[in-house]
Amino acid sequence: MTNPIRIDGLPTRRVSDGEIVTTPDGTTHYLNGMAALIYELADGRSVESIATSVAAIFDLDNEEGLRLAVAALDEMRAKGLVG
Amino acid sequence: MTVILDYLWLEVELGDDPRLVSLLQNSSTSSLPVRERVTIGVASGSDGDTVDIDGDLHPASGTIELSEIAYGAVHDRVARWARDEGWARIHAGLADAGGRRIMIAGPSGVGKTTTIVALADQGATVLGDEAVLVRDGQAIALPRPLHAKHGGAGIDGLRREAVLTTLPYEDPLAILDPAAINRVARLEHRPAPLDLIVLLERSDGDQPRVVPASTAEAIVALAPDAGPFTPDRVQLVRTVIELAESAPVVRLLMTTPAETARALLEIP
Repeated sequence: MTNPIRIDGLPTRRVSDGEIVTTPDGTTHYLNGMAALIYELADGRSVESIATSVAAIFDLDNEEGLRLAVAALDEMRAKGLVG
Repeated sequence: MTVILDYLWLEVELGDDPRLVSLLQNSSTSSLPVRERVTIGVASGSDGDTVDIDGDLHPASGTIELSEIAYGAVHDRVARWARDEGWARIHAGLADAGGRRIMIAGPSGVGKTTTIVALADQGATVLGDEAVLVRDGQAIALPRPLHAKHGGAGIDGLRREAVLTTLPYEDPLAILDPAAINRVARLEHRPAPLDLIVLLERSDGDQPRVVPASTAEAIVALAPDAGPFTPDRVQLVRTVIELAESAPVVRLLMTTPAETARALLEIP
């Protein structure tokens, strides 16, 4: 997996428990709190680095952090939120 | 004689044991409303010391244990009020340099306290070296005495009157009076926005270097250490993002404390 990076220019809006991102086709995507963090950290750093931060912030073991980060980033790629 | 300390939401009445005053003295006032009063005293007997916190007695076998009990009594309560009122606790110091409020974060041992004391030597006012409470883009320092590792040996020109006491850990810890470091009688702590967020890092270079940092870098640097004090991690991330978007964030690759402080003051 190449290092994930947020797609430039997508409108985002913070909500009380996460973030809403709109893709060019007009679809809105709700990211929960952890997904919003993963999206924010997708700035070109490695998946492993994102996973380490997620694990540290949410007090998870590294394996669980990696599993959640990979799953979230796969879904964000599929929806056109990260490249 | 008793001493009254103004510790954010706490009013702390200290008994006249000079060690207590040395450990907790902070010569500060706070604009936050007092939510709780705490009385701390020490009784010394043939079996050692007993710390009395609002009538609850805690045996202490020496100065280190006494300090940990007294600090714990104050800081656990402050942490509870901070949590209850929605503040996140960031591991960082806070200084006011000519009206610019600068938060200085970095891992334990990186040199926050030495840099902060060097900042005071160059005219800034140091408000704290350990924790900054943040909420809605506002920040307020935890008003405790500064803690310098290695007995303060890394601090050039440290004046004797600034050292309240030294705790005899294996690596001795100097407890420094912020009022003496700042050469003021009293510090005022109030919530206010930040003007600059500095992420301190060690460097092998011979000159300090300032590099702009992103919100993601701020999250990575600030949020993990804050986790244990902020049970709602989603809210914590949000608070850190709001903070990072409220003021410029830079990484400062540090050299000596004096050079690092100068570089910090020159950041536009």
